[in-house]
Amino acid sequence: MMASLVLVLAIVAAACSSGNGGSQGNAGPNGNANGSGSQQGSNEETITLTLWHIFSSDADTFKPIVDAAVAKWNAENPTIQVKMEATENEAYKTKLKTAAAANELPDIFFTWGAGFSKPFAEGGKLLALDDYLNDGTRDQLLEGSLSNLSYGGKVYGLPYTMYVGTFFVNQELFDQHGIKVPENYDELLEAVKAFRAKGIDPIAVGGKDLWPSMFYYNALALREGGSQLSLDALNGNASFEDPAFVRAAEKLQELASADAFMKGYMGITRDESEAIFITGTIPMYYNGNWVATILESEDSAVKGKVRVMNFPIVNGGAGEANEWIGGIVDTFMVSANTQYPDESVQFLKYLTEYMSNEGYKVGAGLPTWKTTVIDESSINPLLKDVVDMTKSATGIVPPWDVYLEGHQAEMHKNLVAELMAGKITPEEFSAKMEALER
Amino acid sequence: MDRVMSNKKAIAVFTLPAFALYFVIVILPVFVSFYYSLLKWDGISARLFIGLDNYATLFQDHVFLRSLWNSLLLAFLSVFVQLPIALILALVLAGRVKGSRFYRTAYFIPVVMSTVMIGQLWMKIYHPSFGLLNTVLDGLGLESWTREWLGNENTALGAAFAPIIWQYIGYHMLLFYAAAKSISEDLYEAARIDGATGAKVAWYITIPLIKPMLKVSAIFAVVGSLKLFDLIYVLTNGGPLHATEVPSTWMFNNIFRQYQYGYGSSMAIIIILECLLFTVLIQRLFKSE
Repeated sequence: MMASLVLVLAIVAAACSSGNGGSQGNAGPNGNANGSGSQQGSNEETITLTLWHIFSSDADTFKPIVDAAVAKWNAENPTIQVKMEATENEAYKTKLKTAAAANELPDIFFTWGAGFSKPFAEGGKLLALDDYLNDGTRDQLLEGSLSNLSYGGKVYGLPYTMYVGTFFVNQELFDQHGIKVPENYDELLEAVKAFRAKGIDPIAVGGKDLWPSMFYYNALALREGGSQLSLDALNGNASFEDPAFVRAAEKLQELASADAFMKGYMGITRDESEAIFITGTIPMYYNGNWVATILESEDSAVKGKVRVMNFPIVNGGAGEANEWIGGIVDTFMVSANTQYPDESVQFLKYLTEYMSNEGYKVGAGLPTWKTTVIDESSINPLLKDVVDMTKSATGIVPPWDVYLEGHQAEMHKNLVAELMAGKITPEEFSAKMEALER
Repeated sequence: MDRVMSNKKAIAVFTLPAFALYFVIVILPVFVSFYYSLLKWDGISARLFIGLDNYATLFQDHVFLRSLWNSLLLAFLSVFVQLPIALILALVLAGRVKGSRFYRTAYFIPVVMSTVMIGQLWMKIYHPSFGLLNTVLDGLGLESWTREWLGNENTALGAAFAPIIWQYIGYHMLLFYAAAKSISEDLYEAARIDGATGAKVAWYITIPLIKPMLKVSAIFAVVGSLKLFDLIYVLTNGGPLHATEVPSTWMFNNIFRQYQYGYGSSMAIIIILECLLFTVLIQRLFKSE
């Protein structure tokens, strides 16, 4: 197995180096001609950029936003016209892979960060954006928001939406029972025991889908070791056997054995766990910020009773208070083979900033650009709180399954499930994580 | 007509379209899958030929072995629980019971319903907090019998198999019923004149005469169990902790979640071989009797 993997890597590496050679050859002349090229373009002829994305259905919240963004751009930039092509999500993945293999990627395209685009970056199919971001763009983006979109130390995509792991607390239940809302892990454990003693399921989780359980582990690991350690371990520069990860596993197992998680959680889907949380019978729930939308909806039994927080900190842990588990995966990237790298990147910046802003306005996601200026009175108050907190985030770690993808992601999620069921010890958990190929 | 039927070329020409279609959508993919099963391949990057390594790994993969065992258990239950129930129902209904049309329809309804709906329905029945099953047990004062049916490793397999067995009872019942109805009235009359009654008629007349249908049902039940996917996928997705994994769900997980196309394909091949083997075995069994 190991030997064959090495072989695969060798093949990939070979493909990369040849791909890089090709793309550099292409980028070189374009790069040199930067200044004059774009000026000539604006004076002389109209260029057409092609944009591929997945917002093909009217049900997509981002479809009208993308349509409007492109229409606005085309009206304002008569010499740089953008042509769109939308493909349904699953078919799009195949289409993109095929196009990449044939070196026929469009100028700008929607894609997913982390594992999905890694082969693209390694195959030299993507334009590195680093040189284009030093005009202040980097500072306008949320801290840590590029980590999922960078490969080998280079940035390849710009983010336009994100979600963060959010700790939802049913304040009313806490008040009724005179229990303190936990700020740190010790208080969390106390609250769990206090609620359990009163016959209340303390924490909601949809264990059947596996990743909701994983969220709790990832948050504890973040609190124990800090965002940098998590990121390092995920990309193979640190060990999963670091004591911080073992301690995080111990804490998760401690919670599980204190019966912290709702009855039968291993057979409950995420959607079901959410449905129970909004009936107001469970005090705590750690999941994506998207839960906020349904919590504040008209038929929610807990409307106005829920508070949002970051996951309780661990006293003595290396994690900083304002670090988050957050997913920034949806992105747009530029092809290494584009004839117009400058214009493409210019449009890329415009598009992602526009979508970040408008997407937040309609509640489709949290903004990734700090430049958001909209009337916030119409925004879901819970979401607004989350955004206010994340603006000063000092680090964002993607949910581990998003970062690892594929086999490793499945293994990780199953290991967390085994850990919570007491099938393996925290040490075994860490050892098995470390044994995964990264 | 006879001339056409004896002309081999004509036969070839007329069967060609159907055969071509069958070849492209059934036979070819099997061979392609077999080829994939010899690769280490994530679906995107270069394919690496590794011979039978995947198969070697397969039989050390405890999740796969467990899934294989689960599917064999289900096949056993289908043949020895599901089919007898279906047969009894069919025989009773074929014996001119009052309102048999209503019962026939009632038993057949689960077959017509989409599997996802059935899955959702049973998930509601099994729900640990407000599910029908636990509520009824509570109501009867049997609190100690309540379980986290689908969430507990020990009960999940039984809980997932129950609806699967239940759903297709109606299907087999209808097959048996149709076969029983096609038996000539004369035979029954003769049996009655000889003094045979209910159970005896069923045992000596009906069952031997519907044997071909029993064979078909047995094959359907076994093969259906071995390649089962949908209800498990909806009910438990193979969980908790792989307790309810069947080969198809584990294959799906490997190919589409873990991007192990080669490894997953080797499971597909094993499933195909398993189904073929059991089909032949059942054919033999019925022949020798």
